Amino acid sequence: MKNKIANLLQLLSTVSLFSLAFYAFTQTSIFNLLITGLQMLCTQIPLLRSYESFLPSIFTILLYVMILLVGIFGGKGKLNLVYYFSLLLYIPVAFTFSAVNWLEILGVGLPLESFLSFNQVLLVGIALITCRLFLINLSRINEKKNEFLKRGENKVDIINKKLIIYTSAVLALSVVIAVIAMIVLVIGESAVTTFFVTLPYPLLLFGLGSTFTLIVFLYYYLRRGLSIESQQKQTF
Amino acid sequence: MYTKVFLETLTSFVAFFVAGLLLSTPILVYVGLVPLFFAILGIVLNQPKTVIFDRGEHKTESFTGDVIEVAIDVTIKDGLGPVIIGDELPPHFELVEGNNFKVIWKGMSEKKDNVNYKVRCTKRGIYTLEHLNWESNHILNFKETIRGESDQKQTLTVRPRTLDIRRIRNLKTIAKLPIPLGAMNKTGMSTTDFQEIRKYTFGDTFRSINWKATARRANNLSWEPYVNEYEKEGKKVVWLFIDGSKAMGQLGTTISNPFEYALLAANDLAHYYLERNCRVGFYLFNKKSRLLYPDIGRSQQYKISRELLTMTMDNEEPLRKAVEKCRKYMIGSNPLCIVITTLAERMNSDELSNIIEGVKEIAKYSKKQTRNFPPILLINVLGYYFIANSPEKRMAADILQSEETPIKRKLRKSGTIVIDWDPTEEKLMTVLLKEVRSR
Repeated sequence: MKNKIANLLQLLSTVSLFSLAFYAFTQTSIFNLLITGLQMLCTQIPLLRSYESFLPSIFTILLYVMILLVGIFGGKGKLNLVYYFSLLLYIPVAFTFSAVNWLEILGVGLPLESFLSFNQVLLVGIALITCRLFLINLSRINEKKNEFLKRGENKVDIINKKLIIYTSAVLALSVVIAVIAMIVLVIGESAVTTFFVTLPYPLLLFGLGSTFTLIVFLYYYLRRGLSIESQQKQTF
Repeated sequence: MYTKVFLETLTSFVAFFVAGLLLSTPILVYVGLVPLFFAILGIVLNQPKTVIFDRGEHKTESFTGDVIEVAIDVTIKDGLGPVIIGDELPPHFELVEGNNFKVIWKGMSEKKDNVNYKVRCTKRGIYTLEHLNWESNHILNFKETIRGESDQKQTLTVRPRTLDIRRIRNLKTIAKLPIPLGAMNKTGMSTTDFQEIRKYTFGDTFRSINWKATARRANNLSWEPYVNEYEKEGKKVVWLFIDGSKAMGQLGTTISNPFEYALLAANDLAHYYLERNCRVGFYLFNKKSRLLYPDIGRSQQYKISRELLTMTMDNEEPLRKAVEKCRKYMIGSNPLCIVITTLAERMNSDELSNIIEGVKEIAKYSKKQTRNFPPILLINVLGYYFIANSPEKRMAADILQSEETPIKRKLRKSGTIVIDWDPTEEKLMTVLLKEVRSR
């Protein structure tokens, strides 16, 4: 029973992960372009003409049905499949904040825009990767639990719980550190740029190079000395 | 040292980072920071590396079928994560309570725990519980599993349980079995224990003449000297010949088969005769034959018990050869020979003739007793009943057992007392008592 609940939770998390990516995708000009293209295609086919206005809903439902089918029949690699598909939907969203307009380069001639802010898109990205890391670890913990159960250990629930808690804690800490690093990078970007521009590169190159060589030399010299000393001790 | 999972996480970061740089998309670079920090934090955390075990005080001896409690104290010094402990059980040990496999969670502080379980020793032998293995996993599976084995050992000697052979007292009985209760050696050194006064015979020393008794019994008609008779050193010799051929293990399981019961019977018979001051010799006949020459006392009992613990089945050695090897110990002692074997699954003529020839060989060294028969006893462990677990199968076993009738008849004709013993149904004592009848 507990296993079924865990599987259901896993499936729900996967669907949420996909929903987040899909929502971000719908907030881009590419999605509008895609729907317009499909509507144009429908006008050409008399049978589908009456469904023209339902196209966005039909498209969404079809995608969800596909994800559910992958979730049910996907086997061991279902998590990866859903993740890669979600990533496929997310990348165009991320490109909207790229320094280069990829649609123009590809010759489509449309502006690549998102109705979401930079922070919102970043948040979706972080949620996506965090969710994936968590789900992968969760499935690994479940595999371990089943292995323990097979070997006759009945008190695996406590171990399982602890593993989930520690994994979640490490993941949460990673996210926090990553967010802090992002803030530092964004705020300190200009300061860092100025600092790096003013650096005396030729001097740095020589200085760092010679320091590095010296460290490597010292490391090997000391290591050799220590090994000879230990050999002598063994001999006596 | 690092696993595929760790490399996958790092690859994830590299993929985002490179894609972000190449496609000029800072969001991808920022998103890639999450797996990077996850990987860094993951490798900072170490799994437990030092696990100390203590088996404490434990039982060193038990009997077959006994339940033994195993308690191991575990101390985990460092690291974080699950530690899997498995105490490998020797074959023939049955887990009764608890588990010899345990997963312990090691948190931030030092962890002390214990592994407790109970096992039943199902077969005699000397066992060592020495494979106490442990492995510790990294909580995020970033590092290879560390495996180790404890050097703590627990040796356990499992002795066969006695079958309780007793002597019947206070009943006027006559045994068909040539069991020499109280039978003394007629030759050998005299002891100081007085036995009787008897008439002088040729060869008696003059010193042994009891002059007072001679004078008392003398009259005008006859005058014969009487001599004191003293107990001779040592009692009768009993030889146990145990069949250790592979045929003994063909029927039944590895725990319960004719061979195991033959050893049990041998142990009990040896104990019985040694208790009554008989000299007991022992021979396991197979290719790895074992011989213990006849001796008396507790030391002999200990020797036999110790040998029985480690005996295994091997290719067949003819009984006749076995008897020939013991020849020098048998000559002149007129021993009682007990052969413990199974006639089941031995329907080919070679194997049967081996037994008959062996019995004939034994007869050469035994003085004929009652009805001109030598003192030979053959205990036939009925093998087919080991695999008969339903009434129908028992009927089938009965039929198969009847095939042994001709060979038994042949053996009985040669004077051997053949006793059929079905260990699944009756005790050895019950079977032996069947051979006792009222006077």
